[in-house]
Amino acid sequence: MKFVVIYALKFYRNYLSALKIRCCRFYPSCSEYAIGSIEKHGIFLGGVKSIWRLIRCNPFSRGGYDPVQ
Amino acid sequence: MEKRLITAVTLSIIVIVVFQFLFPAPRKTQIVKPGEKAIVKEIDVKSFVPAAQIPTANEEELIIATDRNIITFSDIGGAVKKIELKQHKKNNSVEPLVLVEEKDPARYIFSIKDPSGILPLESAKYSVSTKPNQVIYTLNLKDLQIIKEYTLHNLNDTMDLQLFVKNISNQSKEVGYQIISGAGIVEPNISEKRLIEVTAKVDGKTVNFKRPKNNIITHPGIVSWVALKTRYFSLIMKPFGQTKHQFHNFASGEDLVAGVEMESVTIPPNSFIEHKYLLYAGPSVASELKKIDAEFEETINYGFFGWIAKALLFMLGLCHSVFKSWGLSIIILSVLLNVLLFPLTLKSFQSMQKMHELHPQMEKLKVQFKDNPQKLNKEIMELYKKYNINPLGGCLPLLLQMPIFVALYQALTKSIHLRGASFLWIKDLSMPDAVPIPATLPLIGNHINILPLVMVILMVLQQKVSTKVMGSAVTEEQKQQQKMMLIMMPVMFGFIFYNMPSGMVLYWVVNTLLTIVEQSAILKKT
Repeated sequence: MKFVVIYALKFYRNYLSALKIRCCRFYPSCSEYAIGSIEKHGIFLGGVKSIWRLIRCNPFSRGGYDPVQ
Repeated sequence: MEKRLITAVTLSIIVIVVFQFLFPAPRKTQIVKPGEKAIVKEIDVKSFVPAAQIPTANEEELIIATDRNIITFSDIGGAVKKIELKQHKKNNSVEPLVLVEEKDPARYIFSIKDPSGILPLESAKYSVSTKPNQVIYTLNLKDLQIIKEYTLHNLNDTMDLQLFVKNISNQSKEVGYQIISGAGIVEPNISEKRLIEVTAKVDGKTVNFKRPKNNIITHPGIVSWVALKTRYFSLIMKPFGQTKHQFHNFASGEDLVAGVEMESVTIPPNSFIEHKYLLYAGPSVASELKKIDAEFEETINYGFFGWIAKALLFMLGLCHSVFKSWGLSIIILSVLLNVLLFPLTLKSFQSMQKMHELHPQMEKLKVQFKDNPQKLNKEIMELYKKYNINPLGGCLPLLLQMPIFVALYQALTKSIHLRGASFLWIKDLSMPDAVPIPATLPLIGNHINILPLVMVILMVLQQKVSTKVMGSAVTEEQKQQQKMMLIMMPVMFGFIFYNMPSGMVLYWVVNTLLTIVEQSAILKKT
């Protein structure tokens, strides 16, 4: 399960995200963050952290450097 | 560029053809039901005389036409075996749409059954009598008398059943029974059979399911309603009485049967119980259902993003009331959503321009932190912050568009308004545009869906433009990937959309076209 999700994220990272304009306000970007977070914390905690990151990545956020903790 | 476009188009067509070969589209043949086609004069309910009775074997049918429906009763079980809707037509014909046609008397609508199997409530012949707007079936057993009093309506697609069970013996009798609420629902398009489902509200909770794994599934509790639905039509029964549980199962093969079982009650000698039932047999239109029963709107299920779907349908309805064309309404909805999202597109481009201005500084940084990509990215982010550049609106707005598309898909596939709505060359917006071609090709048959092909071509164009807009903001490696995905993505979308309702494809075509226009306009400004 974990590997499937990470594989899917990597597919998005490598192929799909190249098609759109870079839109993330953070470094690392949301998808990189999600891959790192799920690798480190597992699918549940990592997943929740990734979703929280996505929610923070909105027009009202300042963005910036936000590595996987 | 020209050459690559041609390659992309050819490739898309090849892939679609191969895809069609691997996953053949369900053939759009209509099932012709064999046997008994009753030719009976329609009788107006208002001036109701006992209608024609056709003996078929041992069964006597009674066909009654209201202003809206044609209902065929049977004396076996004193129940309903066929319901036709006059307001709706069969696919490509002028005949009324057959919503219910059941062959097995034990599964006729409103057929009742003794759970213990002793009393032949579902197989006995009932005697019939009629009154204005009413059909009454009576069965006399040794100890019990069953009276089924049907009331028909001209103003809406409903009928009522008043069921009396009289104890004519001199001892108390305990009586409980099962009643069929839905069976024999007809779906002429094989590809849409998978959409047939049973929904029910039991103890205040909506239970939704399609395929019972066991033979029979029951949900004990107070049943508010039971609905058997096709893509566009519903058969909803509301019991007014103490229910024991709701049940449903596959009768034989693919036929879903649903019903309720009533709590058994003790009837003292020479008294009776009375249960009332309401049956709706008609299109799944929220505004219609609401008029009949406040709860019936809940039978419509547009999935997880239902509220967005309803909002979109409301907007579509508004457009339709002005322009009287569903195709035009879809186009307007697409334009509207694009205009709403345009500030976002524009803003993103403005930040793109600023980035362009910062390019020399970025190059400097790139040289400075050549060996440390992490540090480089961090420095770039600092640079953005310093000059107050925000790359677009962030990831969330992009993600928020997804529910809109999911909801739109649900709304366009399940909304009956699009059924039979034509637009330009499209005969039916709820189905693929299927343009006949003179020859029968081995893989795609004798119809070709033009709209999805147009969509694929437009998507390739759109991506060409958007890669130009992105300009220098991407790395060399990303550019290589873009080249590959430039063709892959539209082709993938081509697969997904090829057999989708043309209304949905139309929306996507307009959306893509507008994106091209927006992006080229932005590009020209620089």
